[in-house]
Amino acid sequence: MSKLLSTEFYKICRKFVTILIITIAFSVTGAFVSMSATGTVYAGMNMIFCMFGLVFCGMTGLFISQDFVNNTIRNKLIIGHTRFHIYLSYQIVFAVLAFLMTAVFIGIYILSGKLFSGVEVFQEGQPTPDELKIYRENFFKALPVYLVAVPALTTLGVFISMTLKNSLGGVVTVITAYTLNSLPLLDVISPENKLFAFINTVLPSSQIYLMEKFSAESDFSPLKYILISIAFAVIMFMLGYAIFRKADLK
Amino acid sequence: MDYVLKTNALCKHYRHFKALNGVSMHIPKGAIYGFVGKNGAGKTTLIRLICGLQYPTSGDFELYGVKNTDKAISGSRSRMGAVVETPSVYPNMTAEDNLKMQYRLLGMPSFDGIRELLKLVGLENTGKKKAKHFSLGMKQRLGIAIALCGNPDFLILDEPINGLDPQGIIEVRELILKLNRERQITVLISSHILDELSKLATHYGFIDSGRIVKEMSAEELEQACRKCIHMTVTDTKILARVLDGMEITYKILDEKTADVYAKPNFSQLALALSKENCEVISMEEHDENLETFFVNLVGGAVHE
Repeated sequence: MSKLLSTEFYKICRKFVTILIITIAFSVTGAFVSMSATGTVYAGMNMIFCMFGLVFCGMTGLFISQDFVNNTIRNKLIIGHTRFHIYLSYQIVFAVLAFLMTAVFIGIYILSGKLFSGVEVFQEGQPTPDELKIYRENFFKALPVYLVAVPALTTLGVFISMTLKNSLGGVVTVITAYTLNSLPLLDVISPENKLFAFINTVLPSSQIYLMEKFSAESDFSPLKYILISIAFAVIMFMLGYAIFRKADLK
Repeated sequence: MDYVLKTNALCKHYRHFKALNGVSMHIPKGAIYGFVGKNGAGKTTLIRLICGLQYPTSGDFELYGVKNTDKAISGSRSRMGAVVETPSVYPNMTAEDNLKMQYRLLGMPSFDGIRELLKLVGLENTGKKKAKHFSLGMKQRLGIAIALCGNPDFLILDEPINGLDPQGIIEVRELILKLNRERQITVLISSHILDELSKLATHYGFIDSGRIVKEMSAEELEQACRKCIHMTVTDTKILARVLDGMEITYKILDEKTADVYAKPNFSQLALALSKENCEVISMEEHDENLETFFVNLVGGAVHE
């Protein structure tokens, strides 16, 4: 297992600069969007937060599908690595990377807020000190949800790419991520629909949108959403491994 | 005899298609086992099962005495290297980096030996050239080098000379022979190019329609393919007595047929047999090579 982990981490490290640039680009853009719209970086998690999580999901699928395209996954099986260890190593590597990059994203996002402190606010007036206090409190309360939701989304990328086992894995993951990005709109179109509400509650990507909705509420509790993200990740892992365990590889 | 691999009635079905239908094969330790079969006969499917890429529908196999259903099979597989169909390489990495990746997967403590491996397969001068720019032969040799990481005792090569130029074929052949003789590596090699296989193999397994039709050693095959006169007579006991008298080697096949491994004076032989009241019913020259032997065995044309 440690051999697989070190190999996968090494592979990721080769792409680290690209991943870091993507992360910085998203966080700076997110800060600019938030500052220009609300005058503060703490007024909820805007669409850039969700997009960042989904980009990570897509990236996971693209990375893993390369192992199937090049057939390099064979090299692991032939020398005796078990399918469980192979699946788990992918999952650990991408979840850890997602967690670290999310932390970097948030750090740069907050710092960038200071950079853009002078940008024109499209919303009428700056938030009051009381509003700002609630925003800030809720933002930091929502951070653990975000730090869990993004790694949880990588389980979807691993699931799709390990199930399809070819170049389609990467493409389908990206398409799925794009589709998920638009699902929170269902809630806007039809706020009374219970099914839409349920879908948006259980999907980690939609939960990030919910964090924006709750940013002004004083009794917001993040624990429920963290647990849902963990449950989502566990179900995706179990389902993905169950399929991969019996799959015929070329 | 010690066997590296033994399969027992191995079956693999894809819905209604039976890719393997009760394959039982035995690969002795230290052998170069030539695995011969038409396209679609089941060669690659069997190799995939052994490598753990697929699971058998029924039957089992033993690798170094460990059953495939046993958890310890992972340990046995770590003693194995394989190139299945196309070489599995990272196209954006150099030959050296590809080997380093395999070393990491194997948990090797250092990268010592990579230079030697590259030299062994003739890729020591590829420098910073990425694998995606390699020729097919170079990729094939890189695939073999990856399979050789960790000093395996058992090497599986699926069609290793496919697409290689004549020089490449010679190089791969010499490499396989060198590995077998100098490092005592047991090799399972599947190939369509029977003439090439006959220059390497010490044992053969012939597969057709998912079944092993025959397993034999190179000596047995040589014996079967030996140039001879196939004779049908009324009594082979008399024939044997006459041939002994003429000091000619032969093999009695049954009461009426025998193979005679020389060209005797047929008039003298016929006369001697006639004196003993033995009639010659037919005589035909028998001259087979691996290709014709295989065609006769599976009863069809060889598909290249």
